[in-house]
Amino acid sequence: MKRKIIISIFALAAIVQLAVLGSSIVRYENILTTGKVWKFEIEPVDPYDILRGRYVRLRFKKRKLKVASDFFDAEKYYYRKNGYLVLNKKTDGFTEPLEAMNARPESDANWIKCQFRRNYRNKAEAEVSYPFDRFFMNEKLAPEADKVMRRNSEFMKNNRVYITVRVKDGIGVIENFWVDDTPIADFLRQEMKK
Amino acid sequence: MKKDKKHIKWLNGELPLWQEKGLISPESSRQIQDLYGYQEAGFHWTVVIFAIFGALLIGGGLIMVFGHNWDLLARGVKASLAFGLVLAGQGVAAFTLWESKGTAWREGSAVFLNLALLTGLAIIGQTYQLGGNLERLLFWWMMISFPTCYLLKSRASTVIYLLVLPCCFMEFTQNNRSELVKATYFLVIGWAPILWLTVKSWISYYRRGEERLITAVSFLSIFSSLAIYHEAYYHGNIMFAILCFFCISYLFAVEAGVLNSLTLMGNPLARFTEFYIFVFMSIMTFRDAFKEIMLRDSTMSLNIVLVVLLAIYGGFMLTRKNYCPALFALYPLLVLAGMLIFTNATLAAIFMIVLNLYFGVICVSLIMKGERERRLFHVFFGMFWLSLLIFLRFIDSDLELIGKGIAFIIIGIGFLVANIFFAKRIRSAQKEVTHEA
Repeated sequence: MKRKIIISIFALAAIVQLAVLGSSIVRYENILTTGKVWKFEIEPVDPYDILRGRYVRLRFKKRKLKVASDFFDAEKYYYRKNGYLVLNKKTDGFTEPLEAMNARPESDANWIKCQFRRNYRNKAEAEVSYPFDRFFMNEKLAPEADKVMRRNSEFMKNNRVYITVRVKDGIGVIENFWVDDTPIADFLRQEMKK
Repeated sequence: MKKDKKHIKWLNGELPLWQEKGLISPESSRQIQDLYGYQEAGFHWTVVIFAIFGALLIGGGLIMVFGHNWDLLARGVKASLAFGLVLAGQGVAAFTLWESKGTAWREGSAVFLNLALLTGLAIIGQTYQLGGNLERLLFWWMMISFPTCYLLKSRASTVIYLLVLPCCFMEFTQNNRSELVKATYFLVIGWAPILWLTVKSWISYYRRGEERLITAVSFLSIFSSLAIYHEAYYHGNIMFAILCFFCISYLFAVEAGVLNSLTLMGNPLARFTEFYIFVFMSIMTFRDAFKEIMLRDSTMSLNIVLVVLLAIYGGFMLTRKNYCPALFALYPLLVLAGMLIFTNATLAAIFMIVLNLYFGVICVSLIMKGERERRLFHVFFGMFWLSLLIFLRFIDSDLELIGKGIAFIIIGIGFLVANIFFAKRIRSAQKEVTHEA
């Protein structure tokens, strides 16, 4: 009897474990399929995650924005403040942060949940900490990306390096990483062949 | 004749020492063993600990293989792999519960399932390019893995939890992630009963004189992980401290004769020193460690003095017949020889190969000794360090993650198979002797 109870509880726990994994997969697949596409210009650097492998850490070109005087509580110390970032699509198709808000914007697809760092020197300004800050790559390609891009300012001037992000209900999932409209994996493989 | 298992275990632990000190002959030792039967101290726990080690190797290997990032695989395939792994882990755990298997199975399957969950979360994070730091991933892992630890009553998983939780907690507090700090409090409350049970069982086992090695190693690991976390290792010359500690352990181990009579139970200081001697020998198989001892100006002369003294001591041990196994007595001499030739690049490279082989020979000799004397702990202790040596060399190599991961998995499976093989063989030999007596 006791064994049956333990096994029933285990079965329940196993279902919960699978549900946690499964719901993540369904959620992100849904965003990737139906979310709106945004392009963000970036400057990559290349670190390593012991469990998830190599990734390219993404530094966003457009990460500073003006904030309203009541966005940060003047009395409070913030490491990072949770908030909502309204996105704006420029005429060239790339994205820039438009406005930081404390309350969730009306039902519009042009915002994401974000964290903001306060600029203590210039209190009217904040730095956006985007939730999608890394792009996982093959362990051979990631160092190559580092070699080609981060240590080569000429390259960054002459090429447009960006990511496309699918956004839905305030959550963004990276779709791909591009160098002048070529997926980075393909671009790096071509570079390695040269 | 009434046979008290506890005393027979003690007697069996003492016989090799008496034999090595020349008090009794090997024949007398065998006759005494045949008369009283054989009860190896900690046989059960030896099997348990090494089952956990095998599961850790396989789980670690899987993490590495997926860490490679298979960019040619479609998202759906990667998601299925994550699911498949967790299902496999759950299958093994369900089998263990259904068949009411023993501790080795429970501990092994819990560790494997929990590592499968971690790998699953890591694959999803990698596939969907999810941000967030490592601590956040570990936090979610602990959230979904703790029911398994309860249901399978896994102490090994609890130890892993003990190591991970403080890191998450410190990270969340330092970075002012208030919502995660609050959630971590819930996690602490959720885990409190199993933590309490584990600590309680450790205390009671400690009083009964059992499981001391596990306690010592666990606490050592906790302190080491905290020291690494606080970056204490980057200050000062750590190799000097490691060498000093080795000298103390070596002298104690040789004088107390512990290298002759390795057992799982018994004097915790003796267990700790013999364990540490092997840790040191493993560290020294890295060329950089040797270089650090040789080329660090501030402590170089002290390092040389220490090794010279140890080599002289080892030389004396060789003359004291049967007092210290020759392979251990010669080790400081070998290190000293390496120090003398290390400035020459070619000789240094050859020396590192010799030092690795020498360590391998020590491990193999332990396995053979264990097999000969029907001592499972000797066998597994030798296997453990030999496996470690092999995969340290893989880690050190220029192989890609996938190569290293596959090596881990193969060594892990080999370890589990050898575990079953030797345990059966030695158990049946013990039964035979007890039956005859």
